[in-house]
Amino acid sequence: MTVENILEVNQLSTVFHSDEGEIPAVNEVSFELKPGETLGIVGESGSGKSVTSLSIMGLVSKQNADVKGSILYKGKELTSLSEKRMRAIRGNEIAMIFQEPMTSLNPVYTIGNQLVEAVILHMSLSKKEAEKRAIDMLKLVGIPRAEEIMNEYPHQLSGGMRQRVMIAMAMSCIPSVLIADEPTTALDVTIQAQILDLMRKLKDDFNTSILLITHDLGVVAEMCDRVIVMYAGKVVEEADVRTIFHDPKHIYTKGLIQSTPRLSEDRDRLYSIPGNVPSITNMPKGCSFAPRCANAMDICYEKMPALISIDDGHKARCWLYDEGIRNGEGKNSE
Amino acid sequence: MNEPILKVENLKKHFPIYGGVLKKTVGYVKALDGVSFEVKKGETLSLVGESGCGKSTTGRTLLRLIEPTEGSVFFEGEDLLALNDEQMRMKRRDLQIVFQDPYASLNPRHTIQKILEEPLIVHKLGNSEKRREKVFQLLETVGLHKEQAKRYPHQFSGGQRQRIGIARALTLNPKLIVADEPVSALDVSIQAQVLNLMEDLQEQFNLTYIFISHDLSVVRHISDRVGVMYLGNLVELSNKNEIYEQPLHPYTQALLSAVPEPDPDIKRERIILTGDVPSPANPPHGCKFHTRCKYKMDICEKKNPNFIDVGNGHFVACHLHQHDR
Repeated sequence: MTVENILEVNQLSTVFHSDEGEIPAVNEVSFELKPGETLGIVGESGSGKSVTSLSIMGLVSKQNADVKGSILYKGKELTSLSEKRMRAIRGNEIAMIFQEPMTSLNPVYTIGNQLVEAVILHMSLSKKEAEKRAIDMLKLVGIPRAEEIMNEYPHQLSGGMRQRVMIAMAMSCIPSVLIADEPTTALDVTIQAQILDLMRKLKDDFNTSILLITHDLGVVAEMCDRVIVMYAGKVVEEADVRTIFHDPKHIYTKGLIQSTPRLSEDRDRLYSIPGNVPSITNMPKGCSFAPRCANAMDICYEKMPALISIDDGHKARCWLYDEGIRNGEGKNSE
Repeated sequence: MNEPILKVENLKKHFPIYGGVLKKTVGYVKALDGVSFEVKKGETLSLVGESGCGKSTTGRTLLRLIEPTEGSVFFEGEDLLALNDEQMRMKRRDLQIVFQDPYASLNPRHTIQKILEEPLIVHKLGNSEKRREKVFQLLETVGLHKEQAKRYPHQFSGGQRQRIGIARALTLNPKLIVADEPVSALDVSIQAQVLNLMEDLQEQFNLTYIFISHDLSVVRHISDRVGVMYLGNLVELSNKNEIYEQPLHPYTQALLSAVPEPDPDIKRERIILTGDVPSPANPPHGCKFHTRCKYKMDICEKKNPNFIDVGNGHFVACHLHQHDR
């Protein structure tokens, strides 16, 4: 491939230490992000999608967790960087927006204060210039009365406005990568539509790559170029967005899509995946999805399948696509 | 369908705002500003809208968990607002609620057995043997095992907890259940399980649901009729297919167009509403939606449109659809 990847994650594993033992929240996750691309990470609660993004940002506490594997940003290894060097990248070249804008803004500082801080820190501008830049950013993300908002506190703004401020802050240093962790989950649909629209516009203007973490398949279909699906800390499928929705291979991906109710279609009964997500401290042996899988074979309870390449850029972690199994070596148990 | 089981007329709830040194009432948050609708026996009526539109307040005031400021609620012909506390308490056997957050609505110190038999104790039904049996039977009905009755809420997953919340609502064999965002806290795969369960139970026990949700895709799936709320009022109410196929109110149209569809090939024309929902403490004059409406006319700023039937029980409150025009 000729396009250079802006971000390359290789065999990323994040293990938390707890009183109840080791918690492998993220397990050998690999993916790459190309310039100007939007990559979606989809999964349900506990699938490890948020921890993946925090690990990339170096926001997982080293005392409580081990982060293994490699994270290459423009060819530079992030995992071995000192905290000081990392700080120069974080917020500047890789920025992040979170789900709950109220908890990620400081309630005792004005909006202006918080925006200017980031700009001064990373762009070596004077206070005056930084203020001007902050006001420009607020206008860019569609905030009316930007000058007045600079002197207001987060609680004086609505949820949608706060998320716009977060985006203004994240984009103020024109990052190459924006990590958005459930950016619209706390918002109403009409406000969500505004924010998604804004993110698309900024991406086009600045050619920023977006890593979009969400559980909402609707948001994925609308925003992403490629998608990775996570289940129980592992990537179970990876493909471009049309393939994921029209030709999913992993039973979990299929189930996820089928169990999502649609606005344009009225089905009699929703498909539902039986059972629950396994507890991360007590993973089943073999494929972690096997206990909920209708096609599970004997081998699925024995060994975790590899991420098998099916087509160009399409991979699935399922024994059904293993050459040996396909040729009839595996036997169907049920 | 048959006669209404519940009739809500001009229901209002104004929460006072206190201010100043003497904590005098300085204004009101008009959370619910005159809502009228009927619910037919055995149907699912959904109330949808964005945060602050009054959908949850509607559910709670009609059960008198919050006392309404004005209006009337007739359940099987009887005015609930005329009942005294004791009579209302007895009436709640027929009217139950399922809450959004199964983590917050189950007492963490009680076993499932205790949580589920409490309504029976309160209403002095059965002896301990009969109650235990009923609890086992309820657990089975919602797809859990009777062995799990000894456990505590934290030992269950979110989906299982919501099943327990539903089991508790079913304990007294109610006729009507208000389900306030029952699946919003759940993952999609679990959400589908709980929605299917609710549909099965409705058929099995001939339940009537008032389903409150902000998720328009879920509402399309579960409802017979849908009411759309904005700033304390119903703006449109009709059977499901009409609402989704031919929405009349500009707000309903914008709301539906804003929902992202899980299909990358569907490209719809999106109506982006500008601005935020105005504050319910200081709503706009006339039609409350006129500040964000692209069809705004002069009359919209002056006069609040009536909520009228434009045919086939399709109600809408919009000057574009008033008969006198």
